[in-house]
Amino acid sequence: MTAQELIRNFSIIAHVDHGKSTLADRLLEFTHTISDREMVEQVLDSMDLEREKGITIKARAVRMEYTASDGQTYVLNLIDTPGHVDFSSEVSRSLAACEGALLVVDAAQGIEAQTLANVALAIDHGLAIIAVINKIDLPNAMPEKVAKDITDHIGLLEDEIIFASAKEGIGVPEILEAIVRKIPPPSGDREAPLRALIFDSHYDPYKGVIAYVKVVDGRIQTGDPILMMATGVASEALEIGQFRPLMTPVGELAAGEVGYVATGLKVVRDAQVGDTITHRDRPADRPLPGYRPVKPMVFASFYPVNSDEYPELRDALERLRLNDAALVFEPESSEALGFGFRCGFLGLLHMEIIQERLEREYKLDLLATAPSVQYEVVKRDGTTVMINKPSEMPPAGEIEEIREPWARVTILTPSRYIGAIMELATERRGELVEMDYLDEDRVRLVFDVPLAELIVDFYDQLKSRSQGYASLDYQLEGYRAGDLVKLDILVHGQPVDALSLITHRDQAYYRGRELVQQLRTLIPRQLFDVPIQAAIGSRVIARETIRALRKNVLAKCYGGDVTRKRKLLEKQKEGKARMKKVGSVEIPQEAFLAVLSRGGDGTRARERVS
Amino acid sequence: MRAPLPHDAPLGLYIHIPFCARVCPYCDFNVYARQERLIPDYVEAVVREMDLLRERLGPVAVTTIYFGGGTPSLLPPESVARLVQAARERFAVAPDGEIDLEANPESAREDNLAGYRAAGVNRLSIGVQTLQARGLKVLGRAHKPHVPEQALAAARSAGFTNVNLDFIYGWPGQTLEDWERDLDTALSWQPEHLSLYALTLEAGTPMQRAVERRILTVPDDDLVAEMAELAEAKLAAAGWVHYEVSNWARRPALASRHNQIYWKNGRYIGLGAGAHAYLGNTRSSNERLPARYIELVREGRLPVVFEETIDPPTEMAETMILGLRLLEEGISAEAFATRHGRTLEEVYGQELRALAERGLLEWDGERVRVSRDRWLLVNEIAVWFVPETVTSWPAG
Repeated sequence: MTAQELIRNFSIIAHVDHGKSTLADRLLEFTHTISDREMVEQVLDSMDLEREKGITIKARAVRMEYTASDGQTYVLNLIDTPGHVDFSSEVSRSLAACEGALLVVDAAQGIEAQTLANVALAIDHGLAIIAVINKIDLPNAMPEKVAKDITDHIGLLEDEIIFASAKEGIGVPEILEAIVRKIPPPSGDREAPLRALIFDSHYDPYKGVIAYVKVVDGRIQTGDPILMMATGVASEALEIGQFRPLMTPVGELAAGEVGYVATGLKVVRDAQVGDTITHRDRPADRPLPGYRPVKPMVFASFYPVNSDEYPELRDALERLRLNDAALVFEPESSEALGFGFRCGFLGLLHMEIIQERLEREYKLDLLATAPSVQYEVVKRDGTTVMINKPSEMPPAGEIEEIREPWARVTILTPSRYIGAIMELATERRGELVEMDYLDEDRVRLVFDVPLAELIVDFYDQLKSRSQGYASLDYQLEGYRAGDLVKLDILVHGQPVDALSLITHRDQAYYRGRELVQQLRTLIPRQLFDVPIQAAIGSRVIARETIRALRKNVLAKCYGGDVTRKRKLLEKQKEGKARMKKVGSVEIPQEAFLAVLSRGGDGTRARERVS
Repeated sequence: MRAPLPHDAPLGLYIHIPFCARVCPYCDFNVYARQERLIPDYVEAVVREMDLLRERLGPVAVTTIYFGGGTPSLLPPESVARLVQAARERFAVAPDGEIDLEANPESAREDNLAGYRAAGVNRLSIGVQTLQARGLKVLGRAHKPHVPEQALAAARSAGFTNVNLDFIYGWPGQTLEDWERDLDTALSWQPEHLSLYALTLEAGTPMQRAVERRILTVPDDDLVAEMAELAEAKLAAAGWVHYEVSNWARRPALASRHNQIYWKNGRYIGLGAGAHAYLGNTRSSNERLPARYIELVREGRLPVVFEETIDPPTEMAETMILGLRLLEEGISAEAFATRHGRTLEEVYGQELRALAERGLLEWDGERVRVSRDRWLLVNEIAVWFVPETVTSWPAG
């Protein structure tokens, strides 16, 4: 047990590639926390996928010991934050476990939108901020300009900023000294009833859910009966330990200390990030503030390409859920795609990570539908229903109002792209909230944008229209009523459920036209004319006709090669069998896929990280 | 139990000549350029293959002989005579049997045509393809537009009274007017028979690749359908019989007897490299490479490299998908029952009624045939008779 005066808990806030991992490595090396750096290079990013995407998905913690210039030996707990906005509630919990934060900014790139957002969050939590301008060794570094930005927009004093190059080891001792001097020690009451904040967790097949905690008040010992205050789940502290950097059992953790509690619970959902662990026999009066149950915001369906793999997909999702409190899913069947799952995610990156893990770790071949959001439908009878797919939409006559989720989007961009970005935001029904200049060239734009518009291709468009310079951050702003309609697609007069979508009325015409044109090229000609219509209720807003097939005949009989002729026909027959019959029209699966995955390919949310 | 094919049922004899002076860019048949030096050995190998088959089949009666290619007219008349004679010695070839030979216009000269005629060939099929210079160029044909007319005249002088002309429509750049000119000219020459083939872009051919890379553009399906309908109308007006999807005869008796064997799902022997055969309940095909074929036969082995047993459901399906191509005759319920031991009604009653209801078929209980105005959709109809294959469309 360490006296609280000798503990410093901090995290690192940085945009992707601004050098967070390298700096963490240097701190670990300098404090001799790790000796063989080749063995555990960049230990904080331990998951393969994270390494590859250059981001940190799950928070990790590590304990260092550092003897400062005052001769005292301090315990420094570095609590890593997940970098992406999808995990903003986890970021918030990680920050809540700290008393200070290192703000790392690339000397060449300057401040990015996500960094600004997280610093604001850290300041809100009352954290002491230490600014580090990294990569000053780069030829295109502009440390003075970046320092001015930091003083202007974050309000730090210029002489408090540390100039460093984690790669070259420059500035590392200064950073460690600053951590000890500027970050206040934790100040919990070690005699009060136990309150430990869960800031992360993972599932271990032998020990059950491992909760990563900061003990805020009281103490916790091995064998203590414990209670999760938000979920109400009771358990036992099977093992208590610290990250040194590997999980090392200790008998007790006291207020101010960071470590882990092995709970024996079976799913991370039972020990959620933000929940408070207390002692069952001597519970705290109330939990720590800030717990928010995870709520999926983005929805998409996964179907196995090979329908035989449905059970494997279900097992894989169940296994992922053990470790992912935010993942929700339920079985779904689509007339076009067969059996699959409707899944809910925190955001696009979360969705992408899950999809990649299913494909890579579980070797599943997946069809993913375009991401969509959850709508709130207020019915005439006063009830409200949440719907996350068009087919759940009540009949138009029963609907009083449809509400959709909105997000507040912050974009930092060189000023020459303002016009292009304004145009993008307007196309996506965005409303300008605020605009200010960070300096003569850099502008901060704040828009409110419907989430549904944001999750389809917005980020790619932003990057492409700003030649890669603009950065983006968003946070959810709640639901607003909108002029939303259900757009139905009728093939030969018959509505095709799988092709319906919910859209804003102003975009319905464009979307409808686009869809029927696309379908006209994807649905093969039939023996009769086939009208393809887009309709809102009973009103048709777009129409195309697939002209009847006039010719399907083999000219020759290949010098008696009847086998070949028969095989050609067998192939045609198989092709027909693979199509979905809607009324008397045969629609190939590709047509459904092209429509269902429309616009959903350009998510690449992985870049939108700090 | 089904009855085996009766011994007096027609038996065709196909001889494949896989040599060409050059290979046309749209062709995916088993053909080879610059291997003409193999011709003498190849002819002897075909004779040897006849010996091997004679041993295996015993004495059988052959009703037609067909020299297909490739370019059979690359054979000197003595070789054709040798092959016809060899066939006559080993099989009972009907004295009035049809003996066909495919000829290219540029190699159809009076001297060798007379030689073929003397060798017993009594039906000549000339590969005109088109009379438009642009078409000949894009189809990679060696002859000039005026050559086919000379070839036909040469055939007449050589004594051929049964001549077919092959045409291709739907070639890159072809217009409806181009096609109309070809048809009018062909009719004015008064051949006995016309084979009009819609161009098929076969995978892997130079032409298919050129179209895929958008170097060439072929007429769209609708235009090709118009071309087909134009041919149908013009020939009907001239009193011709459209007896098979791609084949018209000036009189019913002038229909190709050899090819009708295929469409009636009959038996045929296939001799030569890559030739196909259907004997008993087995379909087979030969080694494709001429040199390798010659070698195998020399070693006294039947050069068969592919064999498949046709089970009764497949056999019935083949009777349907082939017979539907016979636009006049179709499939007779009586012949079907005799051949397969089951009635059309019990095997395909449901399909026949469904297709008739959709106006695609005429079915009166005695004969099935494709509705006259639906002949261009014959595949759409034929797939109904293809046996079920496993599909992976998910239920749900």
